[in-house]
Amino acid sequence: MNRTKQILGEQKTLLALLILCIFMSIFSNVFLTGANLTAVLIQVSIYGITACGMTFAIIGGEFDLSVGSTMAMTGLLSVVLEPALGQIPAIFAALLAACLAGALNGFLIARCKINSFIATIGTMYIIKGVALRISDGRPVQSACAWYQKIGNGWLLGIPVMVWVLLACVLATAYILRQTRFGRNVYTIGGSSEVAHNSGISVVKCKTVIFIICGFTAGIAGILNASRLNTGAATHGETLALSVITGTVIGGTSLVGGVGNVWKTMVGILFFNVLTNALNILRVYSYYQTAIRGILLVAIIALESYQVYQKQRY
Amino acid sequence: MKKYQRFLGRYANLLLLALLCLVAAAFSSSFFSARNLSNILKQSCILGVLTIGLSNILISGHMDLSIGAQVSFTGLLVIALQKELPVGLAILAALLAGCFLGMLNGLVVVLFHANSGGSLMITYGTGLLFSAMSLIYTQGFTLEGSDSAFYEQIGIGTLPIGSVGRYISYSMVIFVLLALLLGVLEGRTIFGRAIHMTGYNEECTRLSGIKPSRHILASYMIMGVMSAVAAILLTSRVSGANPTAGDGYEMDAIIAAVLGGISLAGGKGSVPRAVLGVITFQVLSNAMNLIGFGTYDQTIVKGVVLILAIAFDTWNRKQLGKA
Repeated sequence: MNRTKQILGEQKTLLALLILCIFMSIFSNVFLTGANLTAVLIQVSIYGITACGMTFAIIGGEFDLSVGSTMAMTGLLSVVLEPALGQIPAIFAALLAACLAGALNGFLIARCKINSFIATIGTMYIIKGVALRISDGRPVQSACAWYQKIGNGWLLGIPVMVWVLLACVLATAYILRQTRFGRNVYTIGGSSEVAHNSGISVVKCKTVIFIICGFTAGIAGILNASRLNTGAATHGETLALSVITGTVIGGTSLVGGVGNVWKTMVGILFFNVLTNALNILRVYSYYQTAIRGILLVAIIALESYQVYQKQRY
Repeated sequence: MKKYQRFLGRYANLLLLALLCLVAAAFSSSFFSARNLSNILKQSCILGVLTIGLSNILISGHMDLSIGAQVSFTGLLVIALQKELPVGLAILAALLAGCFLGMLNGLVVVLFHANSGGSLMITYGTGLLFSAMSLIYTQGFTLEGSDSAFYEQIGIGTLPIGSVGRYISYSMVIFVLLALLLGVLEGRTIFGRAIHMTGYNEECTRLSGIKPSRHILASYMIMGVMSAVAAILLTSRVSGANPTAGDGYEMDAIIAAVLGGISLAGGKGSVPRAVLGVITFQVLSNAMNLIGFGTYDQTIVKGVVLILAIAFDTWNRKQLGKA
């Protein structure tokens, strides 16, 4: 009995997701169709890929609010640099820029020991400003014929974006579980003091975390820009908080040291399936926002209470 | 050496403001004119009211991301209620509603024992809820301003005293009075002591017989009232209420608090520092306008200044700890 209770307590988001899916399958004949599920998965991809990086950051006890700006900048660069460099070098250059943005975050947070919330608000403004500067505030359309095929293409009956998501999730799961770096991330999230005293280079590890965060945001940025065939500095404005929300709802605690990428994916899936379900049920978008807000508050409140109870006994 | 650094640590934020003023004055002769300085202060009022409200929450180690949504909602309310009620009652109702929104935040945070990360996510959620409430209420449309001449004066009127009066607006007076009130509350009362202790170490506070939850709840309620005041100033100045009018104020208030030297980790900061931070924030954007920076460059500079300010603060505290 206690075991069941424990599982229920730990997997409440998965449970909610399942209930939602079953409910929708029964009450709507549109939900459980290939086209709809693919649409959901494509929407999940952008958030999910960014969330892979965010999972590292949140397990490490930090935050990254700048991923939205990084995503916009990367997508923009991959479009803007194409005439000068050719498409493939432009994509690599854009990804490099994303990693550099992550490295800047890492430098500020790991080396200069700045609070990650404020540091990434600062870099969010800087990166966004740079992106606005490059494009003069206007969306830029891609001039390359096959660029849009990355985001809209299919491979073996599955959208390319979903393959990329799958690759990112598997890579994240492998790194977190099987490598020394992954274990160090958990240790640092638990207590960076303990990590430091046991010989882990906290600065190096945290820098890598933020580079990964920038890199995944960059991949999402390129996919997003290619799907729309356009790069714009205004893309991704709500990305960071949505991704953090999904990650936290999945059960990766903001305190750090707890969580894994599968939980993150459950959280992200839950939010996207919910949006899809509400759309199918024709709930007005303002009411959707309200429902999302209430659910978020409820889940975080329960989570907080569980943490509190655990600490007490 | 240590003495010198302690001095720097205490007055660094003031020095930043002085530096910004000097740079602005060097580039533009009109910076130190009475009109420009008065404009800066007039523009500081709305953000100022929000930041002094937020400072209590930050000091207690928590966070409020729903400020913008609170401003939008109470703004709509105060305009809509004026059609039914006398202006005074409408204002009172809006203040009460603000207090209620703050209480909602505070109750969730306190009852479920949320830590700082938890309160961040919870207020993000309530922010979504509040802004949805505003959008549902007007279906996304803007409400026309108030008919009352009195109400319009709150936001744009200036004191009717001689030649100096036109440099001092009513909103400035309201801001100064509220800053004094909250300053006394934060610096001179048991409530202030309690939120400082809570931010420094919540467990110790509880063990020493103070109930942190009560004070956290109170600081969220104060924030709600301040949001309503800011909403009144805003809707009266722009003479209308928009369901998204408050968007972005939460980030600006957090940035202003940090520029003034309030720590997001809790336990460090004060209301005067919040005022200092808001003025720094406004001087920065005013200086950039005078120098002729474009909007895009202003975004970059804002980020750089924010990071430099907090980096210096962090570095200085580390040095002090070492010495």
